[in-house]
Amino acid sequence: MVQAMRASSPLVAAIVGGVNEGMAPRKVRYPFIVYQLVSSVRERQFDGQQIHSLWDVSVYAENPVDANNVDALVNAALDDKDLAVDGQTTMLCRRVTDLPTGPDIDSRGRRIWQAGGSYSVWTDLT
Amino acid sequence: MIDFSALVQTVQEAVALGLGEGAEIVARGARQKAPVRRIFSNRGPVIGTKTASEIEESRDIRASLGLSVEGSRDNPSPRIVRSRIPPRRWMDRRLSQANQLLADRDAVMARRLSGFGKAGSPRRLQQFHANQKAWRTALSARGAYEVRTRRAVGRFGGHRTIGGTLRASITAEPVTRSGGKSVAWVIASAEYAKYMEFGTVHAAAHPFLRPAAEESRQKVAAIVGDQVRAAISQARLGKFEIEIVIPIGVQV
Repeated sequence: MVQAMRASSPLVAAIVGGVNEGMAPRKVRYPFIVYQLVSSVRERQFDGQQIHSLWDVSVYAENPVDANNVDALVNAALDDKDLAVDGQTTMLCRRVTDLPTGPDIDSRGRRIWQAGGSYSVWTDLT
Repeated sequence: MIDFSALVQTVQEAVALGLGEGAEIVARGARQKAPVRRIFSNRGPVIGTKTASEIEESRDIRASLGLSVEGSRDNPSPRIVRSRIPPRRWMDRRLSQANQLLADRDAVMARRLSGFGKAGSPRRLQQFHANQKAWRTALSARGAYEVRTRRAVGRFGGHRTIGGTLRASITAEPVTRSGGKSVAWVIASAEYAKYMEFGTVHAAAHPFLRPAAEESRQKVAAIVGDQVRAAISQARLGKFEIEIVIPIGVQV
């Protein structure tokens, strides 16, 4: 997913703070992306197994316009795209829900906006 | 001749029944996954700095570690004591211990407020320090703060508990039906539940509802399928092929 996001040049140009896993460093610059694994379920079948994983990708920005614009770029980079996963065949990567979050106050007292979505990634291990 | 309205009614009732059962499974899974704030100290400051011989000699430390109070020297052959009371899990023990601490604190505060005894009497001061010591050893620094300020105190099943507010707030609501759609809600009503589920700019997410729902998806579908199958065969409505789709959504 990170590869796919970094392969998108408009997205790379838009995110000043980079792509961070779990949580961004304290003094990161806006806008930035945080991604995190939500769940990963293995479904065993007769001829192999599939991994159904769910990922949250959130964008934090200093204004809602930036947050939504970057979120749209993330969506364009990931939704219905073929991801390269080592040893697995990607079956789908699809945005399933928007993340229902709103404005927040960061550690420096600035108002920031969060936008993002959950992406369902299905891969086949056979 | 097939009575389609009867068929739809039967299927909807069966789906609602199955969904209700499925929501309980999801809620149970979410309760297991819900993060619990660490308010108890695993390693007390007193115990952490003591040697084995010091532990052997100190009755208090042995008691706090759950060892024999009399010590191994005095008790070379341990006696197995069978009790009619089943052993409780460690979490229950800790909660009851913390509940006792809270009760002690309440008593101290009540006495202080009512002006019972002379202010600064040696006995009262001694008791107060004893309580403070117990607090320090059983609870972590953060935990002591959370208990003192009542932030960690919740109610679960009619009992006062310390910690586990988020876990206790997860409930499966009764299934609602509107039109041809049945909806089952699993709700975490704690104020900070959404911050735990989705994370904030200050803290990483600790998802618990969605993983539980995703992991239970197949089980819920199987339960709903079984209920529908049983209902149709019981009503002798014939043979049908029904596709069951269970989408999982999130709402804050």
